[in-house]
Order: sequence, then structure tokens, then C-alpha cells
Amino acid sequence: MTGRLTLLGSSGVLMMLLLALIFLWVPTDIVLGISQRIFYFHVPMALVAFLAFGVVVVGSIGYLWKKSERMDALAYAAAEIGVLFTTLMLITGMLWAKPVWGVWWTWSPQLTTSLILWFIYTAYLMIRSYAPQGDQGARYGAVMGIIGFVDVPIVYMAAKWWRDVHPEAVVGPLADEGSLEGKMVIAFLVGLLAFTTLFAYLLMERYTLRRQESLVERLRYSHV
Amino acid sequence: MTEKTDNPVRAYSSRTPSWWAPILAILWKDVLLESRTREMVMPILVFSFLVIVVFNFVIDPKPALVTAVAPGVLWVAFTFAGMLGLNRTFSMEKEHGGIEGLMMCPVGRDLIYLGKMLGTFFFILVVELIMLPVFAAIFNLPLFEPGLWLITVLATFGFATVGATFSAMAVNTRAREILLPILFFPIAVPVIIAATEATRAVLAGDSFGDYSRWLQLMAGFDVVFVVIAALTFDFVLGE
Amino acid sequence: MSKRLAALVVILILLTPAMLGSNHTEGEDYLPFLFAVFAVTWVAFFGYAFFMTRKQADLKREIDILRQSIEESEET
Repeated sequence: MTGRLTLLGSSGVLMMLLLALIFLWVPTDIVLGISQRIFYFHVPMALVAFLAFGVVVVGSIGYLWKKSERMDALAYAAAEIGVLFTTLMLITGMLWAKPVWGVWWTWSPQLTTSLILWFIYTAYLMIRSYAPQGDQGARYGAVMGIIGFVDVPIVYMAAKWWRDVHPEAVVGPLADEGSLEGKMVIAFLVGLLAFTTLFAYLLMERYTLRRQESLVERLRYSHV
Repeated sequence: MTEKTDNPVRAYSSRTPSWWAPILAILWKDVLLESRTREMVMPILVFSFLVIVVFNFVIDPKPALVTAVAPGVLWVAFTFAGMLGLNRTFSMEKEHGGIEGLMMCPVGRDLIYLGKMLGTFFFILVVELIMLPVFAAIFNLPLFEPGLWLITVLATFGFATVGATFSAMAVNTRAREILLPILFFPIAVPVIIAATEATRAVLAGDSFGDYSRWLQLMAGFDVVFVVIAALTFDFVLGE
Repeated sequence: MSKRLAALVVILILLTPAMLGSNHTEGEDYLPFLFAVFAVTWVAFFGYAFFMTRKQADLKREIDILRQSIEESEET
């Protein structure tokens, strides 16, 4: 219980620190203006989204290898939260793209891979909800998690090479993130830490909830 | 993995190594089944032609535009055909209890996977090989480019690797027809991109070096996922 | 658990507009986008916390039902 409180408390403090840095401390980007500050939310959330998928694959391998129900709960929880972060990343990405590049969407390798990641997460959750509950659903999800994880770098490569062939589809003076000044780097790192702790907290909560769900499920079937 | 006693499969494949025999047996079973009933190849062919025809009405048929979209149209049609072919991989097994039968064989699960995967691969390939000339005729394109055939083989193999696994999973769920595309498309995206871009390069007359990296991508995809899918198939089948 | 998260979210929402006024540079028409980012983010996390609370409540209800049925079957 105290572990959870520490996580929640520290993520709250870090978030407030992050907001303070974003609004009071960080210099305004000359080219991009105020909207560049979205970067401090968008990129940390993107990194956490990918981190969450790493947790999914760890849990998936763990479940297939050890038949450990805790590993499966970990994978499921990470997938749900991963979808949350990926969705937010895509939305904030679009909100950043519109003022900076004038378009809502662009097929840059990062955005394309993120979109595919969102679909893979969704596929994971769908196979788990449509497959029979219990061991079979967990197995299917685990296989999907592993296949998805291996696929993401391949998608990124394909999207990058595609962009080399079709450069006009990706627009904007700063299609890749340029170099950051010192203060910006610090603010970014704080943001990364803040969102990672928030992720850890949410993961713990969802994991516990998921284990309780499985327990109740088993109890129900043994008493009906 | 395979027993050496009383295995009927060994009777007619006496010259092949013992691990190939089950794969060939499963493959041959599927080929026989399809050639006798012919119930799947025809509808999929008709459907694929329809896709091409619809595309022709949907885009403005200026010659320059047609050559520009031809690779995309081809691979959309092939992808849909692949989807329908994948649906079929395990649906008949499911209906007639064939999955339990397969699982009772004293054969490694990865070999079962390879047999089913190769069956799907050849099945979709046959459909595509019939579609290619029609496509070339409608779009006025060179057909006898070896590059085109190589791309088709590599990409179809890629479809079959992950598709067979997802087909086996989807067939056991409540919403199998809609679940298979949802599982399959995101994973197959690199193959679709690579195939389309490579086809575009071939049709534009680019040199082999220009599009060889797309072939490498597809080949890498094929190798990686055939291994992963074969190793995890045991978990897909379960007890 | 989620009450704490909700409290945190409310505090942050209240803090955000207070800080928005401190930097006036050109390109202020970008401010709606910045606001949208924060609003969407907080709504999303708030929504997820709410979703988890609902699940927890459902679970509690199920446990109570199960406990009842166990007690009943023990009486017979």
C-alpha cells in the first residue's frame, strides 16, 4: 500500500514540477512558438507507450514460459494502459502537428509506427476479449504480444524507407526533432520521469485489479 | 518428435527426412481437399477480379494515373485475396474436428504449423498467379518480369506465416471473420508496403539494386516470423 | 485510491490556467492547441481512474454475491 502511495505522490509532485517548468521556466522556441511546449507532454507519453509494450511482451513471454498468472495480469494491465498512452500520444501528436506543420496528420515514420502500435494494442485487447477467458485467452494474447513486439521495428524500417521514396508526403520544416537547448532537455527529462512514474502507478493499480478479477472468475466457476 | 514406428506418413515419403514427412502429409491433404472440392479457389478468384474492376471505375483512368496506382491496386487485391484464403486455413478443420485430429498425431506442433502454413501459402499463390495475367491485361503492364514473381512469392509467404497463426486463433473465437483482419493487417503492414514499393519499382523499370532492399525486408520478415510462429504454435493449439 | 487520483487531477486542472498567463509571445493563436493537449490528457487519465473505480465496484458486488451463495450452501 505504501508503495502505491509513494508512486502516486511522486508522480503528482513530478507532474506539478513539469507544469511549472513548461510554463514558467523553459524558453520559447524561436521557430515553433508556444505550441512547441506540447513536446514535453507528447514525447514522454510516446516513450511510455513503447515502454508499456515492452512490459506486455515481458509478461507474455513470462506467461508462456512459466504459466504464471501474475505475468499474464501484468501483460494485460500494461496493454490497457499502453492503449491509453498511445491514444494520447496520437492525439497530442496531431495537436502539435496542426499549428506547426499546418496538417493534422503526416506519414512520418514515428507517427506511422505509433499508429500501427495502436492497432496492435487494440488487436491484443480484442483477441483477449473475444477468446474464451482463462488460459486460452491468455495464451492467444501472449502470442499476439510477442508477434506484435517483433513486428514494430520492422514497421518502423518499412515506414522510414517508404518516406525516402515519397518525401513530399511528409511536410514541415522540422519533420524530425531538432537539437534541444539545455533547459529544454531538463524539462523533457522531468516530463519523462513524471509520466513514467504515473505509468508505474497506473500499472500497479490495474495489475492488482486484474488479479482480483481472475480470482473472482475462478471462484465463480468453482461454485456455480 | 516424430515416431519411427508404424507411421503411415512414412510409407509414401520414404525418401524424405522424417521431419519433412508430416509437413508434406498435411500439405498434401489440403491440396487434395481443395482440388477435389474446388470450393474456395473460384469465389476468391471472382472476388479478386471484382476488386480490380471496381478500382478501375473508382479512379480516373488516365494512363499516367493508372500506372501510378497499379501497384497499389494489385496489392490491395492480393491482400484481400490473402485474407479470404487465410480464413479458410482452419475454418474447415474447425468445422469437422480436424484440429483435434491433428493434435492427436504424434507430431511436433511446429510441424503441423509448417504444413498448414505451406498449404495456405500455395493456395493464395495459385490465386495470385491466376490474377496476375488478368491484372497485366487490364492495366497494360509487363507480365513476364521475374522480379514481379519473386515479390509475389516473398510477400505471400509473409502473409502465410503470421496469417496461419492468426487464423488458428480467430477460428476459436466468437467473431472470427472480423477478428482475423484486425489481427492480421497491422502485423502485415511492412509486407504490404514492401511489396507495393517493390512492384512500383519493377513496373517503372528500376534496376534490381533499387528495390532489392524491399526484397530483403520481406525475406527477413518471412524468416523471422516463420520461426516465431512455428515455435509458438504449440501455445496456440493448447491442450 | 482513485479519490486521490481524482484530487490530483483537479488540483492540476486548477493550476493550469493560473500559469497560462505568464508568457506572452507571438503565436498566441497556438494557445488553444496547448490547452487542448492538457485538457485531453487530464480527461483521459481521469476517465481511466473512473473506469478502474467502476471495475472495483463491480468486483465488490460479485464478491458479496459469491460470499452469500457460499454461506447459503453451507447452511444446507
